[in-house]
Amino acid sequence: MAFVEFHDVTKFYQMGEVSIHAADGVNFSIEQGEFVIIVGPSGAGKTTVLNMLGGMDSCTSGEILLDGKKISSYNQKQLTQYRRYDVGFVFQFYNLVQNLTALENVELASQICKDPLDAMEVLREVGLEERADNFPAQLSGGEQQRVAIARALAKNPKLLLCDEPTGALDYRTGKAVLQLLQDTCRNTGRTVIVITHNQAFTALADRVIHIHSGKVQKMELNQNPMSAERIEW
Amino acid sequence: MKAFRTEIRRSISRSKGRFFAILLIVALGAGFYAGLRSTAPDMRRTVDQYMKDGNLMDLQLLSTMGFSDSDVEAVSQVEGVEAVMPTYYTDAITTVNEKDITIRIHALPLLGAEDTSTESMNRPTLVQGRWPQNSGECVVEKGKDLKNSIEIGSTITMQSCTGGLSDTLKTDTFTVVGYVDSSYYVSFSVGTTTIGNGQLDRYAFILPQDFKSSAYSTLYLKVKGADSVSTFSDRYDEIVGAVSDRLEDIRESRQDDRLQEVKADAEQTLSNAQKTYDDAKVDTDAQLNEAQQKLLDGAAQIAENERTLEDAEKKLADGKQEYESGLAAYQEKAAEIIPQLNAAQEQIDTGKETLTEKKQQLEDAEKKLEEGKDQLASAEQLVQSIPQLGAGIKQAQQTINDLTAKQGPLKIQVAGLKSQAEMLKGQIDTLDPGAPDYENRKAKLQNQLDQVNAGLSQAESGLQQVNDGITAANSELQNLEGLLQQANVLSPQLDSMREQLTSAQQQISEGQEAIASGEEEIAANQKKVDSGREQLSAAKEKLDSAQKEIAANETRLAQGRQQLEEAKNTLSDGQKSYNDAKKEAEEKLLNAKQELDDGKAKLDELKAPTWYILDRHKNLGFASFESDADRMDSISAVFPVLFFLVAALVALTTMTRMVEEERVLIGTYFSLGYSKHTIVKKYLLYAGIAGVVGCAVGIPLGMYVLPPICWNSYRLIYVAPPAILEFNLKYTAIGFFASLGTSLGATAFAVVSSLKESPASLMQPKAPAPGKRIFLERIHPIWRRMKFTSKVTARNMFRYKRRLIMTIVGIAGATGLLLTGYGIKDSISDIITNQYNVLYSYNAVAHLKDGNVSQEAKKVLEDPQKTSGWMKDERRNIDIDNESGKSISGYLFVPETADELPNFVNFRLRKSHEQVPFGSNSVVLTEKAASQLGISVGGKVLIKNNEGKEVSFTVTGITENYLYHFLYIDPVLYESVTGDQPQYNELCIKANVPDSAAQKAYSDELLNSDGISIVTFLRDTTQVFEKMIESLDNIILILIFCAGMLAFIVLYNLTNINITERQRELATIKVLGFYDREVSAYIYRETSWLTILGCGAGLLLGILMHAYVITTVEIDAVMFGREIAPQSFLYSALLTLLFSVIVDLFMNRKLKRINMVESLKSVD
Repeated sequence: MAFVEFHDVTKFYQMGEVSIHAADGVNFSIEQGEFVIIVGPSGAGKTTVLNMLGGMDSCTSGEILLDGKKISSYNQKQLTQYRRYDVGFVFQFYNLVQNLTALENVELASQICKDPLDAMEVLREVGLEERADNFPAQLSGGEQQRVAIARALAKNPKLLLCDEPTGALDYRTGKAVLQLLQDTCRNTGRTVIVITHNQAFTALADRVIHIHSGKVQKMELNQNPMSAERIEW
Repeated sequence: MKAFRTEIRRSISRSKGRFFAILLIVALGAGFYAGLRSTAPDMRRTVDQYMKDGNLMDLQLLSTMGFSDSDVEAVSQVEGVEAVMPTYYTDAITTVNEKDITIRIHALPLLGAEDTSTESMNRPTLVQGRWPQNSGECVVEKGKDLKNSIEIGSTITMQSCTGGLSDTLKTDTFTVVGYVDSSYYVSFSVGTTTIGNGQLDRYAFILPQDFKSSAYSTLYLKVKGADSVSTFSDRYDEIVGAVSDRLEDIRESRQDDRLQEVKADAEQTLSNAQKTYDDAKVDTDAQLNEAQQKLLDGAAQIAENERTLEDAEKKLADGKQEYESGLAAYQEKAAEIIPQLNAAQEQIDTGKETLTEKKQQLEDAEKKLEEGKDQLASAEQLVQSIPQLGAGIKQAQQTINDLTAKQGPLKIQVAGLKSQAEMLKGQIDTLDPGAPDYENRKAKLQNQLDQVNAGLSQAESGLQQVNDGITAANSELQNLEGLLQQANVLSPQLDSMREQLTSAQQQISEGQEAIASGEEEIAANQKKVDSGREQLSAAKEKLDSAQKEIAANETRLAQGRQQLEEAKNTLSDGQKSYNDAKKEAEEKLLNAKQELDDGKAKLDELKAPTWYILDRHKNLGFASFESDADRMDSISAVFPVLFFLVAALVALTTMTRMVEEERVLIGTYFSLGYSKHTIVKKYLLYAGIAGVVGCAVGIPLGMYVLPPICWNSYRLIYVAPPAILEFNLKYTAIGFFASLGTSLGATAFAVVSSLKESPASLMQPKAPAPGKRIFLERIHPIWRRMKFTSKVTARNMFRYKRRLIMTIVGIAGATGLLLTGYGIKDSISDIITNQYNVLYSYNAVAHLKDGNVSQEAKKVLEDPQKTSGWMKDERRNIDIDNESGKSISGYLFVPETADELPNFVNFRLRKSHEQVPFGSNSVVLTEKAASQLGISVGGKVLIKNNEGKEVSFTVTGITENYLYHFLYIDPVLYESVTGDQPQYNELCIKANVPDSAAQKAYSDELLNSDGISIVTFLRDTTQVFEKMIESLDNIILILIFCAGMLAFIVLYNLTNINITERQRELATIKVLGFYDREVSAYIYRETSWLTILGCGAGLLLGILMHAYVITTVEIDAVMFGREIAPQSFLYSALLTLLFSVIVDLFMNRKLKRINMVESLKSVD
């Protein structure tokens, strides 16, 4: 059995009289420890998939399994617990709490976990040891995103979900962040799922899932993923 | 610009929460301000109108000698005086429900209670019943429900303390026909008096005709033009003051004139009295003389009558003598004649007797003769019947023979029949019963036997008849043979019998003749005797009538004598009473003379009267109302400031937030070419519309809701109509501009500071406020120990300073309001508990009628079961002055023994509770009086003694006290300084009365004892004040409501801003897996801390506001408690926290609605 499984997952939004099919029968599976890229054009339904997988949204029908647990049937409380203990999030706009230092932002996440990693340690891992006491406003975009990744990792999650992590970053910094994510996957054996519209990133992934119009268009396995440093876009 | 306007409209409709927050705080601020501010003017207007309706006098004149018509004339001549109403009043004591109360009786206007002309002043308003129409009717004050009610229809009897009121009133008994209110008495207390306990309990109105005073007690004056302005305005005081000054000018001369008048009157009276005296003297002398003459005439008459009587007596004695000699002659003659007459009578009687005997004999002889005649006749008849007898005998013998012959055959027949019957019987017996014809033969034989028996009984009865006939014939035969034998004997004697009868006839005729002659003789003798007796009795009759006449004359004479004696007695009585009357009259004349002399002496000593010119400020009700209204003014000037401050802060933060939210929009407008001016206008319009609508809602609401609530609370202690509300333009304008100004100012400030940035940077999302280290972080030991979440909270709280200040100020305001409200209640409730439970150890007061405690009363007072202690004291209303002339009205309290007093009144310092000593030479003044007079220990107070002379005492101590002012003085010192003996008029009692039933029993028992008139329990007094305190509950409710609104708006606004501004942050932590509870806590921890900080600040603020309000609101005679009870702090804080919890619950929905997907979106 695969680590993550989507079986005929649909998600409809009712907008007045129009029903929008954000996900329209999504099927895929992901193995543990894979670096996965979900790719598709804007509005294809990638984010919907991520939201459902991340426990921020529920599906209309179908089932979602993670590590054998059926997330799609969780209630609000269970979803919160799921987010709390099993998932780490990295946002496009970092979403750091402005009033907390880098270290405190990491602690914000680690404080609520059962088995967190040491906040300072994680910061060191992402290379921000010296900036630990700085407020987000005092950090560059890449640094902020690295803090965000550290915050996600500190929770010691089963799954790391990243929504356009390089979207707000310049080319170089974006590459560095991707490298960090790839390294994290390789070094810790954690399953990392990155959502992007950038086809160029597919070369990095163990598994690439193409989403189009709320459906999985195709899924391919990459036997020889490239290192992030070597890709170009 | 149409699109621009549409955008403004939409920005309102899309952010209702924010818009209403501004609207509400403006409404609250403006409404509270306008409402509270217009309360005092509304109160004044109401009372002003009430006074105008009742045509309350502008000035009142009092004089120690009353006023005459010429005074009235003089006063009405004074320039500016529109009308004068001379009238009467007097104070009296009456008994209601077995309690003595003092009552002031006024005269109704002369033209009637409902006359609306200017001359009819101080008209009361009829509340119930009707106006007095006849003498002896009155209307009384309705009385607040605290007082003893006087029932309509009941009768009250007025007394002065010395007895009747006949000098001033025509009648002293009045029937209550109605209840009234009077603008002359708007306040709860009526005033003071010189009778009773010095405190007036009630007032009443009667018809002016029921007063009989010659001088008017008081003059009421209306001042021209005074009614055209409010009585509370300065202009009014000016107008009235001018007239008052002019009255002051004529005062001296009028006082002197009045003295002359009174003197002239008195002299007139005196000379009248002298004349009356003289007349009376002359009159008296004449009357005495006349009486004496009458006495002399009476004596002469009596002497004459005596003479007449003596003559009559003499005549009577002569008659009596004559009668007696006649009587003697009659007796002599009677003695001679009567024996003769008696002898003659005797002879007659004997003769009569003899005659009667002879008549008897004659009658017997006649009877014998008749018998002889009868014998002869029957003998002759028998002899003649001899032949008939012989025939009868023969016939009887024949009959016997016939019957004997019939006897034999009959006997044979009977025997035959008998044997035949025997034979038949035998046949029957021999019949064989077994024979076949037995029955037939037996019946035949039986039949024959029956026939034989019938024949036998017939034959036997025939034989019996024959035997009877033989017996009868034999007896007749015997009878006939007897008769025949008798007739044969008589036949030869018949002739001799006839001869004897003839001679007896002859003798009887002779005897009858002799009797007739004897009777004739006796009748002649009887006649002679009877005439002799008649002569005698005639003589006797004459004598008797003479005696009767003598007796009658004697009775008449005795009566005459008695009458004479009586006349003599009357005369001597007359003499006596003449002497008494003479003495009395002389005494009276002497007294009258004395009085006249006294009057003359007094007249010489008479001093000029003193006039008192009193304006409305001297009216107790008016003055206390005026100061209450002023207090209301000062309170209303303070509280609303708080609301404006909070309103400004709310507007500022809200608008800042709005501008921040819309910075990109502003940038866009800029880039589209809209001027700065136009953009600023949008936000000013937004805030302005909220402000205007807020004012439009809040001001009228405040103006029409708050004043009636406040006024109705005051009306528990004032008797006045409901509030006359008026839209107060002045305060509307101030409230409107102030609130609009604050909200617009705050908005302008927020917008202009944003607009300083260039349009380009405005197009960029504003960098979130950067995180900053706070002061607390520098204190490492604390910071390190703080939990992570607390650190976040601490840093967040200080991140947004504007919000911090807004929240703290707002919450502090709310808490402060609550604490002030509760504090006011505490301070006032404290009065009662402190005064009656802590400072006074006694629980009852009894009034003494004459200063003495009777044995009966002592029985109750000295029973340890009933009373734990008692003390006699003098308590009366006096003016206490300081040396610089400031005067307050208070009570003088002189105990009978100085050392006893501390057992009844607890003398101590308010703050330290240190005892204040009281003993000989002690003079203790109560705290508030001391502070009002500016006296400290060692200072001097001045009071007037009974002669009106001012004396001074050195204060030895100042004691805690809340109700009224007291000056406690040692009795010995008092007497030595004033020269007055203390007039002990009451008892302070520690009664053992656990409940109201025991209390009633106790007071009944005490009241039944001699010398005790009123028993008051402090517990009852407490109830009066508790009623007043109830009125505060309304005010506290208003404060709680406003505080709640304030807290709600501030907290709502804060939380609202907090949530919208930090939506992304909240979404992020939700994604991080924070439970709902933790997300809420993340926000509420900040809110709660701010609330707690605000609460703390509010408690401090509350203490300050409370101190201000209490000193402002305090009335003269009362010192409010200065302390706020601990539980009030608790309640205020808890209520504030409760409001914050309510807001939190309200906002929770909004928190839950935050979508996590937000966190994924870009910042826009």
